[in-house]
Amino acid sequence: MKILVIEDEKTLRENIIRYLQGEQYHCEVAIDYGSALEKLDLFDYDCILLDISLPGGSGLELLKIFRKNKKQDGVIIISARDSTDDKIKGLNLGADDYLAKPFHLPELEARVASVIRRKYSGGDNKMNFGTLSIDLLAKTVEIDTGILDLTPTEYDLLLFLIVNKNRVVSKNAIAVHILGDEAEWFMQYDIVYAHIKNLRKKLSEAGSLVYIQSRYGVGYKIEMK
Amino acid sequence: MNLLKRIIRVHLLYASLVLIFAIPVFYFVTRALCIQDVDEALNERKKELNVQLKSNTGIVSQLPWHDLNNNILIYSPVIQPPGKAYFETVNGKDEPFRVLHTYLQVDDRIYPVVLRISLIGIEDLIQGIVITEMLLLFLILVGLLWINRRQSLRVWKPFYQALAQLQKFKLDKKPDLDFMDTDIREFKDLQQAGALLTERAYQTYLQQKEFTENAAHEMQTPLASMRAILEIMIQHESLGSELSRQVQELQDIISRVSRLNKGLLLLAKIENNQFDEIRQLHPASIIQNIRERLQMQLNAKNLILSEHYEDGILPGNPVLLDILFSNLLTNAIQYTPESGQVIMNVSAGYIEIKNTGEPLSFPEEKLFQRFQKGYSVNFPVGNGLGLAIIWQICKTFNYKISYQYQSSFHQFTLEFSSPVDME
Repeated sequence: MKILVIEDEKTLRENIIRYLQGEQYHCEVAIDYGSALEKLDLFDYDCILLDISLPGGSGLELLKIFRKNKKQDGVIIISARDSTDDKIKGLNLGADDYLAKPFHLPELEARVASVIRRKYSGGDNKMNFGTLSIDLLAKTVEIDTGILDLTPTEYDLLLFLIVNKNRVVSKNAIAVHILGDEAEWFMQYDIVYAHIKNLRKKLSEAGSLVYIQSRYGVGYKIEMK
Repeated sequence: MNLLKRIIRVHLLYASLVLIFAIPVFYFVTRALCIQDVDEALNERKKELNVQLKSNTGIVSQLPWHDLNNNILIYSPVIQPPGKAYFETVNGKDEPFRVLHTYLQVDDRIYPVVLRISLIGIEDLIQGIVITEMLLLFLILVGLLWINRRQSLRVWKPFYQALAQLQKFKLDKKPDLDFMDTDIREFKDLQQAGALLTERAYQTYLQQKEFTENAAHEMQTPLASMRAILEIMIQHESLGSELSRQVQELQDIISRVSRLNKGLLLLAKIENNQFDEIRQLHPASIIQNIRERLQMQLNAKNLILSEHYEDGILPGNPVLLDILFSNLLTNAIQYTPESGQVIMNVSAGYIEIKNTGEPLSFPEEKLFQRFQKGYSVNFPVGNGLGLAIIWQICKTFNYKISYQYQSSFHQFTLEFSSPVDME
């Protein structure tokens, strides 16, 4: 899977790539409007991460040209602007998703995975992790002993961790993912912890080999025994 | 009091004073002049009498002179030397007289003589003169005032026009001032200064608006970088528990800065009227929606929520109304102690959100100010903008928000019965 990261801020760009490369993605970069335009013209990508304010021009302008050329690659806008107006504008121009800075890398990973899945699943809505089989359409998780009885939040949480497998996902990222923007008003990690606890219990009771490892209270990682 | 009235008032006061003082002064001066005239006439008459007596000395000894003429009395001769002559004004039975007491010497004999002239005609004359003069003076003053006022209106017209133009100016609209032509230098200066000032104010406003937005946005990218670094850092197996804890603290700090940033940006946008889309909204369904979003937070603190909904329609901006209600409810949840109570009453004309808690630790009137934080060991510190944002939104849409603390309940009441006026 090829991803193009169009972002002028070096640190952010490099860390995005480092995080995404933990998965099976191959990342390329464009650091300004001109180089992005060139790359978009020459190559095809599975997903494009597009910053809006770029040296040399606007990311929205790139998107316009790109969609006019009938390119169907998935596009996720990563922007410092997070007003509803900006989001609507971006989505109307043909972006598949819109993520406001400062986002969490696991959240970005989840969005990338979702965009790629939508474009390339070819009708297959199943995803496997260890002994778990996830039906993305029905939003159910199956294990050899039967279907896991998960709440919608627990399902979300599990999927979020699986998409970010092999990496530690920060508590902060999980809180925002399951609680939404208002999570930032509370910074109550007990909620995250309670859900993790329930999920762990349900997984182990079902005899799953998948377990959630805690990393010094800063985050969680899903693993297979 | 307006400018022209003020100027006319000064003129009017001066004119009245002149009139009031002029009447007696005029009267006395005219009278004194007339009396002087009469006195001269009396002296003339005395000289004539003297000549008559001298050329006809016999008359004096022959006639009882005091009967000679009502206006001339000659008394019997006296021996003592003649006294000094003097004038006086006496009031007779029906008329006033000017009287000259003097002496005449005829053939070594000294006769006291009294000469008089009636003043009745003169008094009439004085009155006539004074009244005529007064009328004239009055006419002149009234005429001057009238001309003055007309002139002022005409002369000051560019001033009033410029004033009206300046009053039309709105900070968030490009100034479009149309001043009338004038050849008065001060007014030209005023027009130029007005045009310059409004243009500068507008430019400053634009810059400030842009600056706030850019500053807030520019800050989000470095924050994103910091967050990304931390998320890469926690991937390292070698990161111990101590460093992990600090990474967590940094994560929280980034959240706070980002939230603060968003809050400031939102306030700036509301103040700049960037949410001008107004729709008819149903507060009850919006609040129910938010309540569902916050269900986990409610559960986590074991709060008891009593809710009552009544459908109503409220004109407002959908984004801002969502923020308004979300902030109110978030605030209530945030500051309610564990297992406390939150009460929501949503009705057609008002919304009431109550929560249990200790009284405020600061004056009530500071509640809606920016960066006023309720601090307590039991609660995570807010960013001090939540209620300020509520206040600003209410101000924008003319909703009335009030707070009171009653029987252990913090209570926020939002009234929106009045129609929204967005110009």
